[in-house]
Amino acid sequence: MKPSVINFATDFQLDVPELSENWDEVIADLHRSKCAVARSNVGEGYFVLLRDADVRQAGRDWETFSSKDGFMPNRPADMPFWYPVECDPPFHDQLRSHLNPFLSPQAIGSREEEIRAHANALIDEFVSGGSADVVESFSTPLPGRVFCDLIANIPLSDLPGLTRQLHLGLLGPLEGRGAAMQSVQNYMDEYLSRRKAEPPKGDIVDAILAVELDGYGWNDRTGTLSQLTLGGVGTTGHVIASIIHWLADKPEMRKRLAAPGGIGPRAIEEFVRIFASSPHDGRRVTRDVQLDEVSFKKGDYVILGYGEACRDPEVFEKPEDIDLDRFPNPHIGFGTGVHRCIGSHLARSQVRIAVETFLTRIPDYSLADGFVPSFETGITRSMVSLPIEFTA
Amino acid sequence: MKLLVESSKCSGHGMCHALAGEVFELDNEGFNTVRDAEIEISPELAEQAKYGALGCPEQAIRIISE
Repeated sequence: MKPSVINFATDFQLDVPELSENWDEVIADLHRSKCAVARSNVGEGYFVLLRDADVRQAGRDWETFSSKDGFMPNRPADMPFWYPVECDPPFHDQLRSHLNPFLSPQAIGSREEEIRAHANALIDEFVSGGSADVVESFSTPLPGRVFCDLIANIPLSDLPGLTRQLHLGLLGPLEGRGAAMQSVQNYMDEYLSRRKAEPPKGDIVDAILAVELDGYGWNDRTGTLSQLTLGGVGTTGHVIASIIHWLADKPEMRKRLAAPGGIGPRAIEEFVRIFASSPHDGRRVTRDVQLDEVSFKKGDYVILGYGEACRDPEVFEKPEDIDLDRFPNPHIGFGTGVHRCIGSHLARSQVRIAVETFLTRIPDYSLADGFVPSFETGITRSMVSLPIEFTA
Repeated sequence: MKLLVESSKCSGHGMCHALAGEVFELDNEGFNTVRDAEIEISPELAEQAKYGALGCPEQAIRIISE
């Protein structure tokens, strides 16, 4: 890997291979140089908060660091705004309380066997082939199938199209992202119209249709379902793929994690911390404020660097090390405060069940000869492919 | 042992329940059922309670007395 010629502290760039392919090194260098706030000159320009303490402070102070201008810097004009991510309390909290019960630990806890059935069904499709791309065949489709089948009752035949459009919306060429997200919302418009005419199923879709809040109209309902689908489809897979990649040369660790109860709560938290798949989230500054070494001006755009904060050496000893017994592990991989990832409980269950099931069905695998993974990074982070060889 | 969960910080991560299920109960949205009020913990659950409190990513659980 070429060393980066970009100085990310003074010239942060979000959508470049130098960041995607050197993620670990760029973050380690930023922390080593004690950079607390990186600056970007791209487009309208923005800042990136890198320290855990600053990300938490800004994340909690929603009045100063507002979500109303959306999650990404230099937003294309045709990118639709979706709630609950892109709004502030009190409206935000009122909307969340309608949605939370469907993704709570209680709600998810009873669905484990269904998640496992989807994991096994996906593995059935490639297990006798001797080789597979884990990203294409397992880690990307699994969260999508679970979300569509268990949470939103979206037909599985529509999942590949939605996955493609969401990927383009998050990580594709910038000029096409707005149109891609709009196409997802157009799908949800048709889907919600259909569901509205049908008897209720008791799912989150019914709850979205039933929300009565001032300022929450039909396009917001389709937006909310689009956003939940984005999270459901486009984030968890990166953690699953990264774990399977990390374990490829660790047969003893694979045995440990495949054993009953092998992947405990501490291991899950460490995997989320180090493989944070939603590492960035934007805010607009609403008043002049001093945070750490920087005087922010009203109108500045700031990225909360969750992924960078997850490796803050002031919080984590040897932050680059993956220590499955690390405790306490107060990472910010699922965000902080009112915008805490609504899907975090589903994500944790899926990561555990996906890896357990994979290691049980395919205990011995190796990376295809000489393979080094490549990545895409923006607001989310994604492994492009993971070709493996195995006998099972 | 006495502890308290601060509602201003509890964000529904659920780690307290995952680590100390006998001590911390969650409501149907995933927040602690008892917030902003002192909770009395029996001696045999004290160790587990401390573990759950330490596991909170928001440091929302304060141990008032051991």
